[in-house]
Amino acid sequence: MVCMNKKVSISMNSPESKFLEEMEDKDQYSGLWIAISGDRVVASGKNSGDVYAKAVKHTKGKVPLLVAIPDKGEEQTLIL
Amino acid sequence: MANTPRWVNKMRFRYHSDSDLNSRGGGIKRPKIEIAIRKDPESVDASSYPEIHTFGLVDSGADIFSIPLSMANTIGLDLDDATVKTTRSASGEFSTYRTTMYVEIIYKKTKVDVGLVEVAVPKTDPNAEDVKEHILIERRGFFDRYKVTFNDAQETLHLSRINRQ
Repeated sequence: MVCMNKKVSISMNSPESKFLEEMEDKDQYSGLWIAISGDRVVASGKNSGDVYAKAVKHTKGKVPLLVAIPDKGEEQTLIL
Repeated sequence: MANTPRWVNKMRFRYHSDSDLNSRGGGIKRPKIEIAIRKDPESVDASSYPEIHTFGLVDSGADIFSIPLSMANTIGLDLDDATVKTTRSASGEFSTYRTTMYVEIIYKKTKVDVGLVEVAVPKTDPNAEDVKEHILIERRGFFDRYKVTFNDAQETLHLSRINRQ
């Protein structure tokens, strides 16, 4: 018998991506880029370059994770 | 790649959502993987040529990598008007710079080399809304280095390194 509902357990890639996955209030950053270092958002804004520049001032040389949060209530269907 | 552990020859990723899974719309999970990008393998000067960690969408439907213009500027890519070409997406045609960047996959806290890949950087965004915020991992430079398997039923992506002579 094949179990179709088997859950796949995979280690997350970095502490930042784990934090992003578990983050419950992403909507507050709707339409923005965010930079995550460790378990916190260290910068956010409309321009990824500006967000990165702000973030690295707080991360002491550690590279932050830079992610675009989609607009709230406007889950995009992608046709690329 | 002599120091790369053998277990990176087969990698498995859960599909990823950038939005709140509990929000209206439900947060669509996609085959995105965490990557590190920088200008080239030797550009280790973090102040002049920073590295960016982000999620890239593995997209079998397009030809080359794509990153937003602001991100290209951040990592110091050379964007030369002489390289500009017309690129076609679902929303129409737009102009892109063509250059190269160095890509690594971040997997279980290890960086796995993908290599130097060709990348398209949208020069003007109005007709390129679908690629403006997306980092796209395309066929050329990736699908010829990894066998890519999408498992939508389990929402997992499998990458197997292709041994090249």
